[in-house]
Amino acid sequence: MTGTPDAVRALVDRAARVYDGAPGPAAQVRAVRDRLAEPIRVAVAGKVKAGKSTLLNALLGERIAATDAGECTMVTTWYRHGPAPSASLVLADGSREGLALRRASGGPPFDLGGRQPGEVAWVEVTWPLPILEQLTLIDTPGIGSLTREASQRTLDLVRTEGGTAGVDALVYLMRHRHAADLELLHGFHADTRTSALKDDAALNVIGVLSRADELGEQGIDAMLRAQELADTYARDPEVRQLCRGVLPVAGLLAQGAQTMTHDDFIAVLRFAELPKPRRDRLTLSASRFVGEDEPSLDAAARAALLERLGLFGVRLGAALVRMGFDTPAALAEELTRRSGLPALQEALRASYASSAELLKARSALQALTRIVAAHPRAGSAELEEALDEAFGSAADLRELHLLARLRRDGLPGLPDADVERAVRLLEWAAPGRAWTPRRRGETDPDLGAELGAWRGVANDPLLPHGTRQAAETLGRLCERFMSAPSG
Amino acid sequence: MVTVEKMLEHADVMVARAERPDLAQRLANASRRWQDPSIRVFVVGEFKQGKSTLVNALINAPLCPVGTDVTTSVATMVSAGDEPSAELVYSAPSLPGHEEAPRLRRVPIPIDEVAQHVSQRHNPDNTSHLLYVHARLPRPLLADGLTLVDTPGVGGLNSSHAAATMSALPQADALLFVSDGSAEYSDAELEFLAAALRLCPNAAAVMTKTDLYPEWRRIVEINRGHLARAGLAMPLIPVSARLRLIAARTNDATLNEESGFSALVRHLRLDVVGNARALGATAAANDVMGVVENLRAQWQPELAAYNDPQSLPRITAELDTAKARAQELKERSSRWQITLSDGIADIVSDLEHDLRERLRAVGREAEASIDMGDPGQDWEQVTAWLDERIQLALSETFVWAEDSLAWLADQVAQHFEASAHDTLVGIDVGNTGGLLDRVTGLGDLDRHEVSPLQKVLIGMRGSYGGVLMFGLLTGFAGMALLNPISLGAGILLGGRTYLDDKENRLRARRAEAKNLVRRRIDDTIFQVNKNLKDRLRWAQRQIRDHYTTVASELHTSLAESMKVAVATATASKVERERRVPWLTKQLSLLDQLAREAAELGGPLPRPAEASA
Repeated sequence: MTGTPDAVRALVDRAARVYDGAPGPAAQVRAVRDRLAEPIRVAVAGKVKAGKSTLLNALLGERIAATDAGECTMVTTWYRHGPAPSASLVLADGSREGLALRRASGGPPFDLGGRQPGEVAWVEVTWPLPILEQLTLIDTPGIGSLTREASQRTLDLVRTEGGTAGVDALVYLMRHRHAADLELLHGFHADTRTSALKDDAALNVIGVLSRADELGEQGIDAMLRAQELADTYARDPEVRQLCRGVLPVAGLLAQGAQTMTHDDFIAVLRFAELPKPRRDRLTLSASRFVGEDEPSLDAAARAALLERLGLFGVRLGAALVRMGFDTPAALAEELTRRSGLPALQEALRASYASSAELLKARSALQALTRIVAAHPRAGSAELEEALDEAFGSAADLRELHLLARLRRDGLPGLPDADVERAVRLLEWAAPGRAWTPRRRGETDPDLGAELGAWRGVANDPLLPHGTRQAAETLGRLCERFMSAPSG
Repeated sequence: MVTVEKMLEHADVMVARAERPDLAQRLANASRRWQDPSIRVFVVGEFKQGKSTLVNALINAPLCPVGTDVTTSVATMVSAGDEPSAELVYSAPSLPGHEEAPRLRRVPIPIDEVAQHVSQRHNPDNTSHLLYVHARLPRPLLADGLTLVDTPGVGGLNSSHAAATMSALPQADALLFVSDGSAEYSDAELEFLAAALRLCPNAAAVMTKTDLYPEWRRIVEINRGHLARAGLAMPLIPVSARLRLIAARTNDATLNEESGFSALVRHLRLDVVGNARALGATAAANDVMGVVENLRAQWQPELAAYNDPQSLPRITAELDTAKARAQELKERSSRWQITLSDGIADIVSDLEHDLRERLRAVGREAEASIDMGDPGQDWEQVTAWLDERIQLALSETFVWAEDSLAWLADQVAQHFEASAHDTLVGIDVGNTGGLLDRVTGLGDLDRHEVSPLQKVLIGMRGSYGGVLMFGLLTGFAGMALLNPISLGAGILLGGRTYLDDKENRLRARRAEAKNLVRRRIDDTIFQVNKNLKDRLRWAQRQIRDHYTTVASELHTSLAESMKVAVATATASKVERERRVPWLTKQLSLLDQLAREAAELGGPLPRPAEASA
């Protein structure tokens, strides 16, 4: 898949020439160019207490972000790649202050250094982690918080209205389908709703059903139920038009498994060795787990274990140990797998990392379009045309747009089964071969048959224009892959 | 201390002696309300917080459907019954000529089928147009008239749930606001709670699922802080329904204590049922006091005339004046009647204006957004947004209507009290001593901070089939009120296919879309105006009937009094010697009864003490 990112770079250069000598817009164009060179920016967002910082720690594989039972993320925090761990805060006036890092203790390695959240514009953390080479991760304050200023920061960062979105993509955490969730997602897509770019809504949002381990009273089958529920959400038309899919993730379990210590492992082992009635008595409630009398595992160790894995994690861990995952590495890996984290990592890699160039190109095109519209100048009209053309001609972008449109509107005049088929085809062809979990038994599409079918639709004069146009795009997609076998 | 039953019995005897069937009727109503109270506790909160599980744990039965992806779409009411039973309740077309009176259609179903009718899965967005489901179970907790109402959660994708819950709240006696131990309150939750408290001030917060969250105690503290900062004074009770159900199954008393349900049950018994019973006792005492007042007015002048025959002409003259005043009170031209009818007219026109303004503003916003986009593609979003805004505007209008009506009722109550007081103050029955102080015996209740409006409220509560008279939307009928509006969505859905199929130019599509929006807004205004007007007129009639009855009773008393006072002039000595001790005796019995009523209607005893 070629073309669009290079074309966009050329357009940025052209814009730089057009605005040479106009300081304001020129600086904006430079910012666009800089951003093209950066890793893609992915924000972790969601309602307050959705588990954003916990999930972020799980993704990072280290407990860097502070987590707490009460609301605690009050400022936006950027996690970038860097040669050595460092943290600094950017104040409202733009000045920077370094923050001292402390290791060990198990808690977060830095705090605001006595500053009030209101004084701080954002916090920047660099850490030498491989994932950050590909993604810049951004932790955000929860929306719907009683601390309104904190929520506002997230909306400012994520909303595209009247400016360039601060981020290219979102990992959106939801616990239930709350109205506030949809509101924020609509905000993220607000700018694209009325513009020519509207079809790519839902391209760059991955939905996460967070705190998945808390479903069904944290029974051992919680993750199965979570998967079912996530599938239900993903089928919901409202959710579907706002994000690419919904994955269940037990953030606390993932974080605990990713950062599991030897002490944790020993505690799980001790617990697993207890006779069943005693285990049951302990896991009756969180309070009992810590408060009951149990000489073989002291209360402090139990409290620590509960804090790190949650009641579900403890139950699952014990079950896994008895199933034979009885080394620290094997247990941590299996717990991670069951937490749903690998599926999210895979989705991030397949979706964002591999189509990062495309997503960034898209963000850049949006930004340029806005700059050009706001600052007409000699040569800007031609540039605007070139931008439109770039959107129109890029087969890859057009296919991504079509995918988003199909998810939202379907294909008027055609049965749902055809829409499903079209979506599958587009997902299959999408950069990075889509992140959507493969359905069991699904194979590569029969491109020849698909081509014939979509050509037929494209030539049916009785069907609506939009449907025929979509069929045209699908047909060309088939041709492209048939002539150049994909890898 | 005398019981309410005894007091009512004593009053009955007095009324029988005075041969006053009108007052006997009043006592019969009071007695019925006392013996068959319905105390509605609404379980409200955001969805997926464990409201249905909480109700199930309270009644120890799997009545309301619960589960990972189960959400409640229809309210379920649970009250006491000898046998488990359930029925679906629909609104039925009103009788011709009584359009404003809500009517219900009930369809019995097996109790284990309740779940099939109230969950989002089986009855999505309540497409079967149920008002609510009513289940009855033999449970000691419910025996005192406690009725639990499980409501659809708010904050979900269906914004009409919030409006429906709000509109039903005026008929709640108490609220349980439910949120789970996973997180502190969000701003949406506190906003909802603050609005709900305006409609039903007797509330407690319940925090569920404490078994799952190690840090629940901290969340409790944080939430108490939030409540205190928001100025919402209410208890917060942490519970675990799961532990409660396990405890019930295994008969484990320690576990039951840990579940926190004993505190919740205590709250329901003492603060909810107890307060409602105390309020009920006040209501009964209030009725008895009214009876005492009437009987005194009937007997006192007669005794005065016997004791001092010279004063007879003066007494009859004053009774005549009082009677005329009481007559005036019944007339439409009396001050309270004018206040009432003018007030209602004002509210109707204000609400009409307010609603029109609100909805027109919504319409203008919708048109602006149509102009910005292509309705062929944005249509679903526009309609969803429009629905949400209309619902919001309607809930605001409803709350406002409720407030205005309560204010008006208070005005009417004060005017009536003042005039009624004048009526009695006018009677100077000479040296019978302290009569007037006692005639205005209602003042005894006033000292216990019961306003005239409250008196009417507590007095009339339940007298119209359990529907609170000032509940503008008369409870669940409020949900029915919202239904015509959701039905209106049909126009929009039809519009969508029309727009899709017809390859109009953008301008034509926009014009068409605006047209649909306008029609929708106009339809809504028409429907809601009609409903609001009907409800307000209904409330007006209830208020008028209540005070007219009180005025009639007074008039009858005075007329009776007049008749016997005049008769004293021609009474024989024998008659007089028989009559004077009898009257003195009756009046002292009335004093006794008034003391009983004052005692029962006095500072509300804690039910624990009362039952001890």
